[in-house]
Amino acid sequence: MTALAFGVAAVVLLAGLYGVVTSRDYLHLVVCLVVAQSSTYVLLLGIGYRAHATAPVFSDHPKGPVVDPVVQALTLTDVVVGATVLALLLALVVQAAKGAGGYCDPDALNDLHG
Amino acid sequence: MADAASPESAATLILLLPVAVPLLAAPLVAAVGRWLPRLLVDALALAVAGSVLGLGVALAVLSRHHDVVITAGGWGDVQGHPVGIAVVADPASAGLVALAGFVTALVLVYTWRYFEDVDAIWHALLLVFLAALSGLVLVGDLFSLFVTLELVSVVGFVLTGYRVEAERSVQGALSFAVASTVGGVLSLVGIALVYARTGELGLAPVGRALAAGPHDALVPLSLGLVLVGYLVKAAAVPFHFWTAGAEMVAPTPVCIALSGVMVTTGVYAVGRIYHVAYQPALPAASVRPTLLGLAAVTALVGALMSLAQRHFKRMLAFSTIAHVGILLVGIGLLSPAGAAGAAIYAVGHAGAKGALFCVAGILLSRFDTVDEGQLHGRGRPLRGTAAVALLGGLALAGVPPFGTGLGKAVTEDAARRSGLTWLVPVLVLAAALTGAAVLRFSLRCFLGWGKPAREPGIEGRPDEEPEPDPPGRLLISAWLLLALSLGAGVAGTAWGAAAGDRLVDGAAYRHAVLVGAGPIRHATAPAGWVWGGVPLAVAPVLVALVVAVLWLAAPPRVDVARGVLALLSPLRRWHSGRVGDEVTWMLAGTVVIGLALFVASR
Amino acid sequence: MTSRQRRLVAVPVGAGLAVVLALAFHGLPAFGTAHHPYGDASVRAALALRHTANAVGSVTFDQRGLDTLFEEFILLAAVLGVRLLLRPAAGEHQGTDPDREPRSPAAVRATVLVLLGVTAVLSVSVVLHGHLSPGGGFQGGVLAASGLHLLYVGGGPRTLARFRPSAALELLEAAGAGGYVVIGLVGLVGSGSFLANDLPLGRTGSLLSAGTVPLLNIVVGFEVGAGLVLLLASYFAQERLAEGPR
Repeated sequence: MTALAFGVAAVVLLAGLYGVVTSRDYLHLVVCLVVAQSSTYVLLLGIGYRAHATAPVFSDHPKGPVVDPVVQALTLTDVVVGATVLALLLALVVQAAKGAGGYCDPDALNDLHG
Repeated sequence: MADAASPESAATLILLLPVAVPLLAAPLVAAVGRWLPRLLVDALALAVAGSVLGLGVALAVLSRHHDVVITAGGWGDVQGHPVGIAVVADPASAGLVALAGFVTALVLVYTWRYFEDVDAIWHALLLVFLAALSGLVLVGDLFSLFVTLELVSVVGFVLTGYRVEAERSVQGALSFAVASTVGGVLSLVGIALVYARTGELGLAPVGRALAAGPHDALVPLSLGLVLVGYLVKAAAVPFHFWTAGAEMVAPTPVCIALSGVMVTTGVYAVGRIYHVAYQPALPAASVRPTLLGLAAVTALVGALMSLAQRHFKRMLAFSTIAHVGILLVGIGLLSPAGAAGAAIYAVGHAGAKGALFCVAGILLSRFDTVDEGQLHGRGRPLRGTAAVALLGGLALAGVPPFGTGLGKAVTEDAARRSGLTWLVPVLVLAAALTGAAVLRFSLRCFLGWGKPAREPGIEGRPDEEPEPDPPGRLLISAWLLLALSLGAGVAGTAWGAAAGDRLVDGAAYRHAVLVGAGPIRHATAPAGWVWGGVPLAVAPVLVALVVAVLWLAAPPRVDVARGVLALLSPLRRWHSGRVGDEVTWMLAGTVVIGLALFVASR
Repeated sequence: MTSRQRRLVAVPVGAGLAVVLALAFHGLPAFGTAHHPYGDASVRAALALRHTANAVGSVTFDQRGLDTLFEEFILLAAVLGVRLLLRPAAGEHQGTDPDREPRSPAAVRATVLVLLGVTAVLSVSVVLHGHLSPGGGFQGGVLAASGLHLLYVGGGPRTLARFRPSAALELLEAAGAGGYVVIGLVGLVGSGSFLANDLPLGRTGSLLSAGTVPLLNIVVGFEVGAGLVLLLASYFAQERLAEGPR
């Protein structure tokens, strides 16, 4: 079970990074970055899990074992950071695609070489 | 905390103000800036930056004997476990806060009434940038370091891509954004691993826990992963590809902030994370080879590439990479003297590099280009600018009165004392070649030496970045930055010694955070620091002058330029400008660093 | 490198990265382990010390409130950044006159109107109960901003064209961001510690509990809601620019 839980995180990370490296469309590249970031959510939440425990919110139940709330707070922050970076990357891709006629190949944007 | 002697309690009260004050001013400026007279907005932003400078200096003075430690929110331990975020000031971090405040203030002076069309968003973003940099160096918590790193990145790529109409600006910003994001993801994986192992996020508690726990593969590999995000920011090879592109296209004031302060905080974070969190578990001898290898490669790649550029800002960007290599040598020696050299060098470099970017700004505003070939001889009327450019080039080569000279001398001394004499020629060569590149450009542009350049390279376009204002203010900023560099060399020894000593002493930091105030610290600079060995100080300057003159004035049958460029062409092809290639090399670097740390730790 | 060469290099690099991850992950504790010292301490801090029923909210806004301050400003910087990066260039113009767009069907508009009401109420509820149940400023703010998407889906370009982000939204966003810092500074002045939670803590589980946590949730809710509306409005404006004259 441990291998599965953390293996999923590793596979998703590698898949996302592979997509970034080999992408032919900038929009696809940005989405692959999001996929890679989401692997960190899986990793963090997997680390915080406690077997037979419930959510760390006590308005329904006064006590009992709960999963790690710290990791959930970290994931929340990670999600916000990921979403904001995505918004900015997409804005840049929109501007890049304007110059290139609506479709943006990362390999073609290589003016800054040498 | 509060009932200690008065200066201590004053320090704990002001410790988070370098973060809080700009973060209070930024939304204010963004929201009401359009209704206020522009002068008021400029003045307010400048006052905030100046206050951060003052706070940084105050914290450096107040922390000279003890680290100043607070926990945000006033949290103590719960069930014997720290639950809050520790914030720590010592001479190293406080000095960087002051540097950030100074550079931001100068950038604001530079852009006085610039960028009229975006209301006050520019000012707001700069203030957030300042707060983020201050936060990054002051927090003592791994996850807070990640969040501040992301904040610095976000503002960084917005400011880089400011001129969205220019295709190359967008490319540069995209390259920066993708590299930062990949680096951030890898750092976060490392932080998650550390948390899983130790159950802690604070640097000091992590250090304590890693010392006790099993010493297996997770420890060195997580260090490698965590450092990647900061190495991207620091522009170390092979995480450096974004730098040349971004600093080519970013508005010149942004380049000053990026090259001067942002890369320095990346290097600082590498040192801080290792010494406080990892040094008990991974002894210096196992980490030093990896860091120094990284540093040497960075210094040489940056220096060689800077020589091959004809676009002045791109040349300066590569020279920043080379100087980061020199900084990483100082940090990578993992000794107080090495870190002291790096601290002094960082301030000296920020001043010199900032001044040279001001020169670039002046050239852009007068001639609409920074291309070495197109500018041949045209700078002759600009006497003051020429003086700055030549002095800046000499400073990059490590001429003694400047902070770069002193920092380099101290670092070389530390390398020799650690028995790593092979580093000395690396430092000399890196400084010499970057100085040569800038001197060559200056001699060609301001004195008309050599022929109009025929070498390949990225050509500056004439309509590149219209910079509207007359260069008077730019020149003042340039002289102030050169003065900073000179000041670091003349008066920086005491601060440098204290900063270096405390950066390296992770045990004292851990004690201050976990237990309380320790014994009073005094760091004195060894007497041999004053100007190092004269030959070593003079050698890179001579080499720089010789290389520059040879390049320009070689007889027609001995085409030095073409020979050098041909030799460098594989390195230049490596810099393909494609984002896919960049990420591939970044991942390769991550693997190499991780495995190197792992193998060395067994 | 060409694309083919890059794929060839990516394979060994990917394999190396997989090895690094495997070696490192091997040291992770078992999935579902009961050993969470930081988690247990923070639960105790949230419940016993701060009367906050939602432990995650306590960690986010009270124990690690400094991180959330930076996070909030990442959002502010991103919103300002998108407005900067997507600002209309000199030659660009707005698309067709919105009044010439077709109206969407009445049934769609009625549904959207009802759903807008539900969205508004839900988002306010999520923000206000952030310290009691899952939710809080970020989540509630995102819900509020999704109302703009509803407008787009239901009303089409015609409704959206009428929507001009007013200065009030920018003020609200700034107030949200600045408000967090102000609350922190109040703590500094009051008890000498930035972001100290000094307000009355109330009874766990009641609406007025947990000190500054509900206040911070509210300011974050304003900032996130207003900020995301402004951000989405920039994107929608871009879309109208891109279509050009017909």
